[in-house]
Amino acid sequence: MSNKRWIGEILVAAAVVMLGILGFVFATRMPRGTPHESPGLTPTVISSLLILLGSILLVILVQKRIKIPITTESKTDQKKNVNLEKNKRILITLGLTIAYVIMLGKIPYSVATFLYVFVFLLALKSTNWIKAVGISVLVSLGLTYVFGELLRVVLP
Amino acid sequence: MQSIYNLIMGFIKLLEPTHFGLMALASVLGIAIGALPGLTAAMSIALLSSITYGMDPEYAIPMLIALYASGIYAGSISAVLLNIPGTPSAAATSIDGYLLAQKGRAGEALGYARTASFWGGIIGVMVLAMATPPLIRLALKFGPWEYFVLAIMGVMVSGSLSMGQLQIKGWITGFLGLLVSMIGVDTLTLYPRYTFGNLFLMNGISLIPALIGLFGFSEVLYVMSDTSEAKLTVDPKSLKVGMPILQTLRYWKTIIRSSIIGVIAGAIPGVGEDIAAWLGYAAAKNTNKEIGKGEIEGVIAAEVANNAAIGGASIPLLSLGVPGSGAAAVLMGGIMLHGIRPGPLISIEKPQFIYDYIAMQLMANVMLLVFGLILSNLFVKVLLIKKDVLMPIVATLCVIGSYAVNNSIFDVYVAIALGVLGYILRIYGYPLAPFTLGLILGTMADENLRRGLMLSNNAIYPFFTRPVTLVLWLLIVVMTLWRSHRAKA
Repeated sequence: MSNKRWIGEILVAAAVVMLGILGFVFATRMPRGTPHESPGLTPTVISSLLILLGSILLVILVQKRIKIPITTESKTDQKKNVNLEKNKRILITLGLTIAYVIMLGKIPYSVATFLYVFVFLLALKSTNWIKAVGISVLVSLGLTYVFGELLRVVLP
Repeated sequence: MQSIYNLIMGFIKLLEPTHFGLMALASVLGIAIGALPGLTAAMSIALLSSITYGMDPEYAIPMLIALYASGIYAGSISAVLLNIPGTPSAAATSIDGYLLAQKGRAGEALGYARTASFWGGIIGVMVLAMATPPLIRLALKFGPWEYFVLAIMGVMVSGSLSMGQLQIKGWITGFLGLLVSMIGVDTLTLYPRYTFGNLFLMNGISLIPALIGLFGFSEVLYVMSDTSEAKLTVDPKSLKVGMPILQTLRYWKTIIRSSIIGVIAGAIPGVGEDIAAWLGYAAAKNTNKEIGKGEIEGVIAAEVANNAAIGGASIPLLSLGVPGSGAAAVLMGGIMLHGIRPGPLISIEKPQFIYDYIAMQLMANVMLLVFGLILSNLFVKVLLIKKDVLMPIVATLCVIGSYAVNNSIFDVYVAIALGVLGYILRIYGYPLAPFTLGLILGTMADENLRRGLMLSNNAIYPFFTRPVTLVLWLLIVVMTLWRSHRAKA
């Protein structure tokens, strides 16, 4: 396991413990009485188990670090480029999707969808701009028709 | 006799033109989606659940089932032609399937994959028909203690046996799902839990947007993180795909063995179609050493098992309200969205639904056989679509799909958040199926824990000492130990 990966694993396990602690704290503040009157009973149990399991996982990960040598990630240019490209693609996907959702309701659905697909395709350089326009128009009109007209969804 | 009559009535209903047409459409969609790497059966069921939300359940549920069966089969298409399974359940198929394609026998492999899926599906449905009624009769005797332990068993066994690096990670995701299901107004006291004053959270996390996020949006992120592009090495125009229904029966021993494995694996919560396929494949390899070198029997073993697992996963889904696989969990979410609550009470509330469900599964298997053959060359061409073009379209479907259920933009944000969570969990080896089970079974666990404590005057021993609860805890312990043993081996 590489150092970077191990740190990631530790952070996720720590986040689980934190979530468990937060869940526990809020659950204990809920009203108490008979089990029927205690909405916090089950959340308390689940949060406690999450704290326990997350802590055990942290211990396992720390023990792994001690027992197995951690390999330093190869710093070859090729590997760096692949990782950069991968992160770029995820950020583009996430960023554009969030921007699209923010746009919904502020501009017509079909326009927002056209812009989203068009910018997405060009950002990834997956096709030329003429095909990107064609695909974006088809998708936006298609979805508007299917959801708005056929399924009678009140589009955002 | 009454059961056979009810089953025939269920089947006749499906032959009505609108039912048949919609089911056929869903079957075709299921094959097209299942064939594409990056689009899973679970994702497509979640999206279609949202799309069919406004439809009559009589039309919507057969569509979901047709999509499920076809989607699981269709993963074999890209497994054979691209060496990339279209769905995780076709991973074992790609070993022999792709080797056969390289030897110029792609059409043969695809034909046998389809007929094997058909036979596996049919046998799975037959076992479903026989096993469900007695299990329902048993489950009707359950009290709140049994239902609570059943919910915990579903989450923990799923966590133990899901494909993941460490068992404990499966349990963590299961309990995370349970915690997320606690968000919203408590059904017993009407107290708002974990809402932090947000009105949108009062009704809790909406199931379908959550599933679209977990299986749809997280898959989009996962596919986009892969910078490679697969190349089709077979010319779609030259592909000749057959229908070797009877020839497949020459491998009857493999079919029976893989079906049994598939049904059992499917019935255990969280194990599902992908593990069923590997188990069926491994068992066949023990009897035929040529499997793994481009043998048709390898393709048959994997495909029979993964489609038989659909019937297997439906047994606890219908009888206990505990889905047997991740995709079955999403299907259950879709069924619940249409106002039907699977579980033992269904035999009292909607007894005909059990027979309708069996008839739908039978019809779905016939459709995958027929449409898989008629449209095989078209489905192969679908593989030529680049994923960088496909994923933005899938993302827009995820957005509108999660919005459409409640006409709520908040649900879209929930889907994106769970999508990001699902992606992070996935890359660090946390399986998603237990999270789904936790989300679905959370209310059942919560209500029955509190009811059980009330009835037993706050004593916890009935949760451990009643006969059925003892058996369920034993099952949890056995599965945990078995998984630990396999991990060490």
